[in-house]
Amino acid sequence: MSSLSDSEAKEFHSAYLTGFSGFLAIALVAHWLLYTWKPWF
Amino acid sequence: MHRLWMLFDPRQVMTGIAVALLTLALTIHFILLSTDRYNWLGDPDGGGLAVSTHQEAMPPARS
Repeated sequence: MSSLSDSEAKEFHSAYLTGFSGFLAIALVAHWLLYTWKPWF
Repeated sequence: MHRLWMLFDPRQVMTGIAVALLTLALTIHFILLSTDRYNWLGDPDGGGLAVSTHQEAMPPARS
C-alpha cells in the first residue's frame, strides 16, 4: 500500500488527470497534423 | 478511482510511465524513420539513405 491518505490521493489524482489531458491534447494535435501531411489509412 | 494512489505509490507509477513512454516514443520514431513514406530526414527520393550510394566509374588511367 502507498502511504497516501484519501485526501492526498484525491489531490494527486486531479493533478494526474490534468497532466494526462494535456498530454492527450498534444498527442491529438500531433497526430492530426501528421495525418493532414501524410495519411496512413 | 483516486483510491488507486492509495494502492500504488505515485512516485513509482510516474517513473514507470516515464520509462515506458520514452521507450515507446523512441521505438515509434525509429520505426517511422525506417520507412520511406514517413522518413523526415533522408532526401525524398534517395531511397531512404541520406547519402546516395551511387558511385561514378573510375576515370581512364593516365598512360
